[in-house]
Amino acid sequence: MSVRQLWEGADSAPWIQQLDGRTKLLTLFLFAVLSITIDNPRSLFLLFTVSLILHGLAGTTIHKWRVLAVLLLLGLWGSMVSQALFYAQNPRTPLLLLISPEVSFFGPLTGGLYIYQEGILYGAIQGMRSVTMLSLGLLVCWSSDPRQLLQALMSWHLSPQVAFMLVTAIRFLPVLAAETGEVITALQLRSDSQQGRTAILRHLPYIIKPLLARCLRRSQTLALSVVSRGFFLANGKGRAMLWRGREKFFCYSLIMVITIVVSSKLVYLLSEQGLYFGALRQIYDWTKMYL
Amino acid sequence: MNKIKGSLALIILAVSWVALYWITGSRTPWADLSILKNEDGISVYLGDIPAVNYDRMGFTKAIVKYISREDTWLVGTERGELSLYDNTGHQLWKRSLGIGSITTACVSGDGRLAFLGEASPEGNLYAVDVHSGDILWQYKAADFIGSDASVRSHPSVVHIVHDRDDNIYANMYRFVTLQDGSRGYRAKMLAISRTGQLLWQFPQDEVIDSWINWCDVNDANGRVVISSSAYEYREEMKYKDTLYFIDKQNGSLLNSVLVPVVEPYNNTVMRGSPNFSPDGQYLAAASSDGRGMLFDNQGKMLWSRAVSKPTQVDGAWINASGRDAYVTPYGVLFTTINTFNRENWQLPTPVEHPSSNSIYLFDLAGRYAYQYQSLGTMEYLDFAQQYVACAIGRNVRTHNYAAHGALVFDLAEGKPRASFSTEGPVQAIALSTDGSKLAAVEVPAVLPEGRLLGSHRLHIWQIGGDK
Repeated sequence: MSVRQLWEGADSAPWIQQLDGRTKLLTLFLFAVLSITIDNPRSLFLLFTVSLILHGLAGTTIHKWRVLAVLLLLGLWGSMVSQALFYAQNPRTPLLLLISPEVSFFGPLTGGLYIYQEGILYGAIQGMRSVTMLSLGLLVCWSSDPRQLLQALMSWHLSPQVAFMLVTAIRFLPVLAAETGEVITALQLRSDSQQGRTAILRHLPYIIKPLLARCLRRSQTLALSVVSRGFFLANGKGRAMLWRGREKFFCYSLIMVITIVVSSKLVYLLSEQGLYFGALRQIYDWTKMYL
Repeated sequence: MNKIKGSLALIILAVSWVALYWITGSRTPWADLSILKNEDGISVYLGDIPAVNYDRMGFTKAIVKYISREDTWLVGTERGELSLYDNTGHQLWKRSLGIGSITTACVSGDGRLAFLGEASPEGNLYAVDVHSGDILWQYKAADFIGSDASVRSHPSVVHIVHDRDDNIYANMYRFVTLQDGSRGYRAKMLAISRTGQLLWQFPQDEVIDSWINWCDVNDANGRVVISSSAYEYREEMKYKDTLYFIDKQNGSLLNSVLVPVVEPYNNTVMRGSPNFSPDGQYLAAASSDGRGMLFDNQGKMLWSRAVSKPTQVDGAWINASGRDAYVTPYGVLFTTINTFNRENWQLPTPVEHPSSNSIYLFDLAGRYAYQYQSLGTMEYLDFAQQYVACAIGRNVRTHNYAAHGALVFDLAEGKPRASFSTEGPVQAIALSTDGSKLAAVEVPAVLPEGRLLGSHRLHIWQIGGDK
């Protein structure tokens, strides 16, 4: 599988490819709201698991799973390790001492470096928020034709210019990946270095300039193409697309669920500020336990 | 090999998923890994809890009760979590009671039910099945004494006792700000049957305009006693007396007693007493002004002893408040807590009162038997056989952090039988019925220099021979 194919969405299961762009974007947005709203670690974990299950159902290929795994691991463990080391809130319980405060130079400089158990959990919460969205974002990218998303955005009466730029950003992911691959290959060939990860790492600092030049060239071509095809003409706008009833029902149901969740969280937060209503006690309890 | 190498990221992702499942669950890795064992016993991490300043008056609360029927320990936390642990430190069940903080608990005579009180905007009183953790019934204190969340005037169930038939008697109160800006209270006692039927409330048609903290009930004399706990005293108050004796059958007021005050106090305040003797003949009480008293069951004072006399030093009145009072087979026991400045508890005191943080024992005739002084406040007491277990918490005057831990004191011998040290202050303690096992809850505290001391842990110790 080429680098470009790795970022394109042509090999997903038919059911997800056929989903309307609006369904995908709305679901993505609602999951983002949900992952911001939820603070409970186990609920966030379930949300993260749902995103992985969706990848499984969408038939994400093994190559893409590898890419996904690397990105998720970087986000997740990066957050957990950094928070475990630098967690500043109380209480915090040291699990492991890395640098003793008595060690010369680094000890007094850092005040001792520990791994805090509360930091691990806090980092996991923050990490799960971001990797859930990363996972779902990649799912949408890998399972959608950019035109599908463009039509969805335009059917919501978003300015064609803005919609086009948003979708182009997604569209450029595989292009950028392919360009990067080509630049690295060129650099490897020119430097006569050994192939492999070390060689790639050695060339990474030098890829910016050629990559930027190629991107600018592509952008210019794209701009000319858009203008010459009359993409932003008024008669091209507003072509209504059919949004299947089942998908619409799913989206409305999801909106309702998320609204309930967000409202529960809001009334709970308000109750902590003194705006408490006894009749809502069960909602407060439910929110505290699960959200 | 290449296949394995290619799948490495996937394998790590799968392992990470399992790790996340573990980390995000109630049984977090450190919950199992942190069951620390030593020769005396074990300790278990109870989960995150906000640490408060070491010198703070309203300090972190916790409860622990021994369930003899199942040989287990019921633990309640300020986060509103209730859990049951066996003697090896393994959690048998855990449930959250929601937004409240668990403030008090008592276990029914047969060990099947636990009655729990919380502080929250509703101040719920729960009956919980000890075996399963199910809530069987509940009452809201807010329905009886009101609630005003806008000024955080939350009702709190502060003390629960039960009689032979497992009818429970629960005190609840909340503070209010009066029109002149001074502090007032709304309080009430509820009597509820084991099955959750409201038997009576005291007072029936109004609320007590004072703070009530402690109560006791006795089957032998058929009486319930309530003590008032507010330092505030105003002539227009209706409930100005110190002790109220109530008929436990119907909730009618039998009589009330105003205990004379001592200088420099305005009224007599009791926050951890009184308690009836098992035969119902006597009533032991300790007041915040440092007196230990014995009454008959009608409220007639038999004798009073100044276990901690308020003293003026460098122009400041200092005192070690009296708190607990019990009539035991070995004598009448009183305890005192930290030294406080009468003007304001936060102000420093020039010296530590010589009677602070002590156990005192007198015989029924009022003759002094002995004093035992610990280095920190005895936050809670639990009795079994001839032993009393003391949760040793903070000493806000000396900041002696070595004081923290648990003490098992032999009342018959008048000397400690065993002691156990903890890093943080211990706030709750329970002793097994045979006096062989001890459980205590340690809580974290933030020291003045910003360092965190101790952690939120349940300790279970085996009590061996003399230590």
